Amino acid sequence: MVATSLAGNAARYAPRDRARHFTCEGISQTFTGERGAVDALTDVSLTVEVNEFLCIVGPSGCGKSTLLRIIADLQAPTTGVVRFEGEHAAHRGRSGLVVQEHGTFPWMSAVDNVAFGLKLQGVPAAERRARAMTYLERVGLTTFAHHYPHELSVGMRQRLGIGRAMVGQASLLLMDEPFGALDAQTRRHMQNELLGIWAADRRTVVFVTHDIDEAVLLGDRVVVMSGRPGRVLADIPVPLARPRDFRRDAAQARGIIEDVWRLLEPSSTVVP
Amino acid sequence: MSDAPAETRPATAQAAVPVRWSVRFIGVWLAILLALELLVESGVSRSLFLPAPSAVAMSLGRMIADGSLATNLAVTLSRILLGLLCGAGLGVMLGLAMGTSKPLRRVLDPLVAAIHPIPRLAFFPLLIVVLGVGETSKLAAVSLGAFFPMLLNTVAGVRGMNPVHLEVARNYGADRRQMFLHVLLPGSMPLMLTGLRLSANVAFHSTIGVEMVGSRTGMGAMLWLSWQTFRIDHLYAILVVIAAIGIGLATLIRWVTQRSAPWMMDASRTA
Ligand SMILES: Nc1ncnc2c1ncn2[C@@H]1O[C@H](COP(=O)(O)OP(=O)(O)OP(=O)(O)O)[C@@H](O)[C@H]1O
Ligand SMILES: [Mg+2]
Repeated sequence: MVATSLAGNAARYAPRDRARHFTCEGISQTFTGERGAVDALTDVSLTVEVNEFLCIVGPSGCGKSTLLRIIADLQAPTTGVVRFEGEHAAHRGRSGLVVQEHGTFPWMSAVDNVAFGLKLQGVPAAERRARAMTYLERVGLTTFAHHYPHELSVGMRQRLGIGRAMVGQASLLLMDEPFGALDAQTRRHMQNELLGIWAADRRTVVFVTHDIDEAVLLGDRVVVMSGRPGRVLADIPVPLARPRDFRRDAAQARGIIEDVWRLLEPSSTVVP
Repeated sequence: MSDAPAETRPATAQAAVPVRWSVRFIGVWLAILLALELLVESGVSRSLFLPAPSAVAMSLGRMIADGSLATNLAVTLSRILLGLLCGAGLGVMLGLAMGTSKPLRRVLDPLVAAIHPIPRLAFFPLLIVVLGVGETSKLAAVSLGAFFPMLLNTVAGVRGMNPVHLEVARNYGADRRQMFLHVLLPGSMPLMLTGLRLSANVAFHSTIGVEMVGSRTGMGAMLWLSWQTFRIDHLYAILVVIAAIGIGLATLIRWVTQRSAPWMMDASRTA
């Protein structure tokens, strides 16, 4: 599927400042368990700028989720560090995290799930309910506000997790295949919502996906990772104008997508 | 009945067959009682061990009339509930502490593992020696029974929490108090409620047992007395009351479960 024009106001995609948000420096991760050691990541270095939309693609099991967990400070890497710059250092370990699966709390209704972060911050009940409802609407779950997660479909739960990540004011959104279980149409809608929030609120997004078209459609850059142990194969800028329109920029978009594909092919010799 | 932590899936936590007051339930029992009545009245059965249901009902009526049922039922119910409150209360508190503290677990695990397999009633003589023949030793025996299922299931509930939920909460900035209140407690609630259900059962069984061997009051004592005086209709009447206590207790636990974990009950209703 080659996505076409994304709705959105061009003015929202104003030029962004180029300050660093955080850098990963020489991150390696080895898991040692009873069944031997697994090298998940080797020497991953990345710089992510403030308000940048970074997409990460790579084969299953290459350590994308692990990298995200390390950035989220849920896990200490075996070697290397994640350095948050300036004001962002204070927010280390506090991000809008969307985990790959089972992230929503089964004991909370949809609206309470979304309001969770606000509740922790001590936002008054009426206000957090109102804000949560706004975001439930953005992810298309208004009529399910008082349902529990087990009463929702997998894709609906995924959207719930996204709403919960967006409602807080976290400057960094870490999203692990957030649209994996969505149909093409809902996915398109969610992509638009995400881009809208990203552009309006000046957030930094790190977005893991299996869908290369999606990565090129959304990202300022696409980081391509190798098979396990994961390392950075290439860091491809996506200079397409926003709002992105794959029909308008068909040739350029296709070129970038082909580049990524070629890097991911096992027999690939194209390692820049 | 095993105290061991049951399945973690909330949908199947209500494993016991609940009594439903359906037409079928009442129909089956009416048919059995009617058949028994005919069997005894017609003289086909002359067994001493099989009184006519009407005789049992009359016996029950006399117990109600002379007030002995009310007094003894109250005693039994208060022993069950007080024992459950103390035993399960302590169990849940120590369980939460053990679940969240590794050092505590390492110290207490061997103790729990050694004491837990001993049948609860086996402690009763020792408790009498230590606490005397009064109400305290009975309460202690019932509490001890109720304590272990709650303890084990609470520990399992905390340990079995989905780590993703803890991580997400931490990432959203939960402090220790918030983590406990909003994540750990509700997250381990399904198994804690399973523990409560098992504890209530053990408290019930222990109470009847303790009353049979060491009490002059309560339904267990009445039961024992009716065997000693060979009042068979009496014995059956008391069994009916004890069954009713069991059903009432199960209903109470279901109600508590519904109130404290609505998300879980929804799951089991649709299952
Ligand atoms: N807690 C863990 N203990 C041991 N090994 C682990 C652990 N977590 C991940 N791994 C291993 O690390 C490797 C990378 O896992 P990770 O989940 O990061 O992959 P991924 O790129 O996100 O894959 P997918 O695209 O399928 O989600 C895998 O080989 C996995 O087996
Ligand atoms: Mg993953």
